[in-house]
Amino acid sequence: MLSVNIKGYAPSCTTSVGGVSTLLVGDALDFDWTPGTANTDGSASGYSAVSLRSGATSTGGAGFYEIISLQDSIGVEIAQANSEFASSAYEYTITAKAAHLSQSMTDFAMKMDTASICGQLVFVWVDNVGNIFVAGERSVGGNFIPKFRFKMDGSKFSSGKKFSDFNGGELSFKASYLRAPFQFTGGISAITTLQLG
Amino acid sequence: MSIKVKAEHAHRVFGFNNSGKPLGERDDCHLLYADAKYHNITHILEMFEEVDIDTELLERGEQFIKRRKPPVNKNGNGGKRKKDSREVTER
Repeated sequence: MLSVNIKGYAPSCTTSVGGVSTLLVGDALDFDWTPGTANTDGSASGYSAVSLRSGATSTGGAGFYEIISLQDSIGVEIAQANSEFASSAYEYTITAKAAHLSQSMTDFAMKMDTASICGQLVFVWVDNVGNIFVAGERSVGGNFIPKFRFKMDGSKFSSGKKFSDFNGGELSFKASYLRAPFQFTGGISAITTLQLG
Repeated sequence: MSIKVKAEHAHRVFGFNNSGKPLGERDDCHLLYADAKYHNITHILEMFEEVDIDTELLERGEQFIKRRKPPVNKNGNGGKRKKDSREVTER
């Protein structure tokens, strides 16, 4: 207390399960996230609202797009490191398995590559507990936050060799950031309103 | 103090409180406004105007009165009271 305000961790008393049920991706510059009112101890409460930024329109393609993946194949891993008692970094890896090598798979991969180079991807996922998380956001409360850039990195596309082999893309997106992801508390309907595909 | 969305922003869509209806169709905008006010997010605050609760109630009352149908007069004389022949006119 004399040096830093410590906070404990007390999760809500519900059953907990692993896994991610839904993974969405969008152009980070299209969205503005509204932080919720801070908790009584001053800690962040996540994001409570999301909207399209000025100039971004759904008719122009601004929205969330689902990466439809095989059952139980979406995963989010975040490895924290602080090697010198100084700066903490969080290495994100989002993975998913999407079926079928196809032209649309190639188009998707090309878009992700382009966005990795020229733009910024924002990911939203819904875990099997029902919590919604955001990673890769750019605009918060109308202001840009430090860059949180994902790149498609380490994806594998394979045809398989026999009928029972997997045919499709093992997608991998990686980023490094200064904290773990913020939760979105505005509910899934608030997200699906802005979902286009 | 209450708030209402300015007419020019009524079509704007914000996803919050498990809904993404346009602001003009929502009755929970105070939730968004409260978060915006806490963080002083001006571009959201500017979409609303604060309404003094007394003024708002007065406006609602006036609108209610306007919406009310005029009372139907059974005599069919447009609301004018028929003069009773027994009434004595003062001179």
